[in-house]
Amino acid sequence: MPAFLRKAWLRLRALVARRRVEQELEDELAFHLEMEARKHAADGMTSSQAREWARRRFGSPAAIADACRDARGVAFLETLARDAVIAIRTFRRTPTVTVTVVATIALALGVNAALFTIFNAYVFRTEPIRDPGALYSVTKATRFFTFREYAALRQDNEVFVDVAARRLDVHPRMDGRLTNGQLVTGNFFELLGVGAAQGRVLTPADVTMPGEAPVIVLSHLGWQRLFASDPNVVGRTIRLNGFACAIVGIAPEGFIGLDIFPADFWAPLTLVSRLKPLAWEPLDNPGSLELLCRLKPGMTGTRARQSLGLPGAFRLTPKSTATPFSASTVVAFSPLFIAFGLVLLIACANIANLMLARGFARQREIGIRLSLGASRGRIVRQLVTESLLLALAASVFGLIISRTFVDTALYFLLATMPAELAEFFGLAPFPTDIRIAGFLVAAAILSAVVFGLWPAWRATRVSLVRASRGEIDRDARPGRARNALVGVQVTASALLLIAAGVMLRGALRAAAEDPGVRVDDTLIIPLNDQTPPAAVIPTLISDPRVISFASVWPGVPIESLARDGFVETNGSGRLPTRYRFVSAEFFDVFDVDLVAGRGFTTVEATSRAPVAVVSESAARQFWPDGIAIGQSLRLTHDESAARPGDLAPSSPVVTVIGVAQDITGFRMAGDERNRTPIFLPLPTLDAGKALIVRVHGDPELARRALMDRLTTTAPQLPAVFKARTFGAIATYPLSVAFWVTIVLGAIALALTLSGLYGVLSYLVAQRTKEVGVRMALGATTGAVMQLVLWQSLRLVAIGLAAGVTFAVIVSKLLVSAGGGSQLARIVDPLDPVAYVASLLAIVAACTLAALVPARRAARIDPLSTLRHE
Amino acid sequence: MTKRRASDLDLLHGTLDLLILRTLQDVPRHGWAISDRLQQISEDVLQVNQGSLYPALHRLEHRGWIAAEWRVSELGRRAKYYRLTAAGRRQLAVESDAWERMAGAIGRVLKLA
Repeated sequence: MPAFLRKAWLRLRALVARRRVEQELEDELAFHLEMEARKHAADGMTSSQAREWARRRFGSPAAIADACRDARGVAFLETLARDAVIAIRTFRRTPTVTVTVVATIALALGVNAALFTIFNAYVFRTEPIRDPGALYSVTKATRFFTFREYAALRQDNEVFVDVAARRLDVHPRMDGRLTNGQLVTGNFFELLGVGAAQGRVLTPADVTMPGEAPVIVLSHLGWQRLFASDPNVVGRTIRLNGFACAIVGIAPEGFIGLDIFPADFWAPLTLVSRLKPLAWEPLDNPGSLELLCRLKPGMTGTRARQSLGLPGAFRLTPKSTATPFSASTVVAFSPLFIAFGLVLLIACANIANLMLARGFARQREIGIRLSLGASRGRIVRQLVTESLLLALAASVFGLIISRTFVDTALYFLLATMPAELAEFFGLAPFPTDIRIAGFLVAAAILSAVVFGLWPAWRATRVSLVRASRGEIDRDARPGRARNALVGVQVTASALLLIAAGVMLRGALRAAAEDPGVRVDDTLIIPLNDQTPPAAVIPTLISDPRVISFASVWPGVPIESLARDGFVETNGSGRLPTRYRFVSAEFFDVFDVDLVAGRGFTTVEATSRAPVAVVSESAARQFWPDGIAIGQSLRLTHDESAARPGDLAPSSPVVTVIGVAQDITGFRMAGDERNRTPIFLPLPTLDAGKALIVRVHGDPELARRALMDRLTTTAPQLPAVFKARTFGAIATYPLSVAFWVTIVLGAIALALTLSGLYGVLSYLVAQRTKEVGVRMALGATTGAVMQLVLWQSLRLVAIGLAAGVTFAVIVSKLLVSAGGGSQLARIVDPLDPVAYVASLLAIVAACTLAALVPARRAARIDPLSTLRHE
Repeated sequence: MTKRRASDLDLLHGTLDLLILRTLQDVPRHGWAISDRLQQISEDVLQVNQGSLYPALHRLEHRGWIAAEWRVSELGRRAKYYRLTAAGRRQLAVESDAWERMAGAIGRVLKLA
C-alpha cells in the first residue's frame, strides 16, 4: 500500500471505526503493562508488587492514551462530530426554535444569493469561449473605433494574435419582429474559438463586399425566442429589415455574445449599411466599432500597451465576462449589496436575540458542564457549532429561495416592461452554479459567527457557584445587548423603507409628469435614410385609426436632440440657441397651445417660408417687455456642431408669427437643453426624421396594427413607439428600484417586528414578579401597559433617529456619485413625505407588535405572582 | 482538552524517533519489546517513562514510517507489532546520517575546544 493511502486509511479509520481504534489502544497499553509485570515477577517480585512497579514505570495510562489520540491528528474533527451530535439532539428537543432560526436565516440568505446570482451572471460567468483569460477589449479615449482604425490596428501585428471588430445595439426587424443583433468581422467566431451547435459560424469568407454576404448565425436564445427552437431553421431565408438573409448556423447554448444584452444573431459587419446606417458616416468606413483582441502568448496588458506605442492612448480591459470585475462595477453594485446585506444583518440580529434568550434559559446546563470541568472555550465552541449547523441548513433552503426569487423577479421585470422594449429585450441566463453555492456557504458561516459567537460568549459567563446551586441568574443584564440589537434592526428597516418611499414618490411623480405635449393617444415613428416620410405616409393616410400626423426634424421634442445655432434680435448680441423643424400639423397633433399668434400654414410649411414660432420662455428671454409677434430674428447655423445632411434654416432672417407654450419633455428622459426655443417650418413629405401620429382608441393596438402594415410597406423602419413610452422608459428603472426596496423593506420590517415582539415577550416574562408587586401596590393596568410600551418605543425612537441620519448621509453620497445627479432631477432624496410616511409605518407596526406583550403584562394577576414568592 | 505532558523524553525529542526506527530495522517488534530493547542496549542509561513511547509510535505510524499489524505474541495474546516501511527505512538513513555528523562534530568540539 503506498504511504499516502496508508495515512489516509489510518485517519479514516480513526474517524469511522473510533470504538475499535480505542479498544486497540487500550489493549496495546494493557499488553505492555502485563509484559512488564511478568518481567518483574520473573525477577522475584510478588504479582501485586510487580504490577505496581510496572504501572509506576509506565506513567499515567490515561494521559498516555490522550497523547496517542492527539497523534492521530483528527482530534479537531472528532470534537466537531461530537458537538454536531449534541447540537442535533438539542434541535430535536426544541423544534420551534430550530425552525425559526433556519427559516429566518434561509430567507435572508436567499435574497442575498438572488442578488449574487444576478451579479454572478454578469461579472463572473465566463462565456464558453477558448482561453477567456487572454481575451481583451481595446478601447481608447472615445470607446469606439472606425473601420479604418481597426484595419490599421490589425496590421500592427506584434501584439495581437488577432483583432475582431463588431457593432452592438443593432435592432433590425427579423420577419417583422424586433431583434438585438451584433454586426461582426469575419474572424469574430474564430477569435473567440466558438463553434456552431448547428450548421456553421461566420467565416472571413462571408464578409466580402458590402451587402454581398447575406448570411447570419442565430444565438441559442434567439433561436428559442424567434423560432421556438425549430430544428429545421438552418438554411432558411429570413428578412432582416426587408433584406433577405440566410441562416447558416446556430451558436452553442450559453454563448450570448459578450455583452450585457444577449444577442439574437450575428451578421457580417458589411451589412452595416442595411441594418444600422448612421447618416454621417461613409459606407466604406463605418464607425462605432468595438474591438476584441487576443494577446500573443507571453504578452501582458501593460507590455501590449507599450508596444502599441502612444502609451495611454489605448486601454485593454479583460473581456471574458459581460461586465469586467472592476472597481467601478463593484461601486455600481454596492448600494444593492448594502441594502440586501442589511436584511441579512437584521435576520442575524433577530437570531442573536433568540440565542441570547436561549443561552439564559440554558444557564443551568451550561453551569453544570462548566463545574464538571469543561473549559469555557470548549462550550463556546460547541454553541458556535450549533449555530453553524443551523446556518448551513438554512443555506440549503436559501438556495431554493434564491432561485424562486430570481425567477419571480425576472417574470415581473419582463411583464411590467413597456411593450416596445419587451419586444426585443432579452436577459442573460442566470444559472445557479458552484459560485452561488460557495457564496451561500460563506455567507452562512459569516452569519453563524455574527449570530452565534457573541450570544455563546455571553451565555458562558455564568457564576459557577450560583448555577451549581440551581439558581438561574435572572439579573445577568441581557437587557442592554438585546435592546441594542432591536435598535440596529429598526435603524436598518427605517433605512430601507425610507429608500422605498423615496423611490415610490419619484416613480409617481415621474408617471404624473406632464411633458407639455399630448402623449396619451400619440405614436412616434423614428425614420431613417432608407425610410423617408414619403415611404410611411401613404400607409398612415389609408389607416382608419390614424387621425392626423406631422413630420419633425431632427427629432421629437420629448425624445431627441435639437440643432445648435445662434440667434440675434434687434439690439441683442449673438446668443446660442436651438431650433427644430416641424410641419404645419405639429402644433395640432401634439396639442401644443399657441398663446399668441398662429402656427404655420401648409403653404408656409411647404415653401419653407421665412417664419418662426418661438416658445414662451424664448419670447420672454428675447423680448422681456415687448410683443414677440412680428419681430424678426437672425438665425445662423452652428457649423462646429453640424453633421452631414443637416437641415439649415432656409433664410437667415425669419419673422415670428406665433408663441407656443413650452414643451418641457420628460425630465428623466431628456436633457433640459432639448427644450426647443425656436420652431421653423418643414414640408410634411420632405426630410423629416420622425413622424408623430394621433390615433383613435387604444394606442398600443394602433401601434401594433401600424407596425404590421409597415413591415411590408417600409421594411427598413426600426419601430413604432407610443409617445407615452418615452416617459415610461425613464420611469421604469425607478419602479424597479421601488419594488426592490419595498420587498426588502417589508422583509426587514417583518423580521424587526418579530424581533421586537420576542424581546418584549421575554421582558414581560422576566419581570412578572416586578409587575405583580407594582400592581399589588396599586399600579393600574394602564400604567403597566404604558411601562412596557414605553420600553419598546424608546428603542424604536432611537433606531429611527439613527435610520434617518443614515438615510440622509446615504442620499447625499448617492447624489454626489455619477448617475445620482440624473436621478435627482425626478427623485427627491430628502422627500419629507417619504420620510414621514415610512417612519409612521414603522412606529405603527412596532406599537402593534408591542401591544400584545403589553396586554399580557397588564393581565398579570398580582395575587398569584405574590403567592409564588 | 488534552495537553501533552512534559516528560524526561523531551530531552531526547527527535532522538527518540531515531531510536525507535533503529530498533525496528531488522525485525518487527511490539511496543514493550521496543522499550525493553532500548533499555538493554543502552544498559539502562535511557531510563524513561515507558508509556511515553506510545505517542511516539502512533505519531510515526501516522507519518507512514512504520506500519502496525496485530499478531499473536509470545504470551499467546494478540499484540500490536510495528515494522519499518520503505519510507521509514529512508528516514532512518537520513536521520542516522544526520545524527552521526552531529555527534562527530560535538565530539571534535569537546576534544579540541
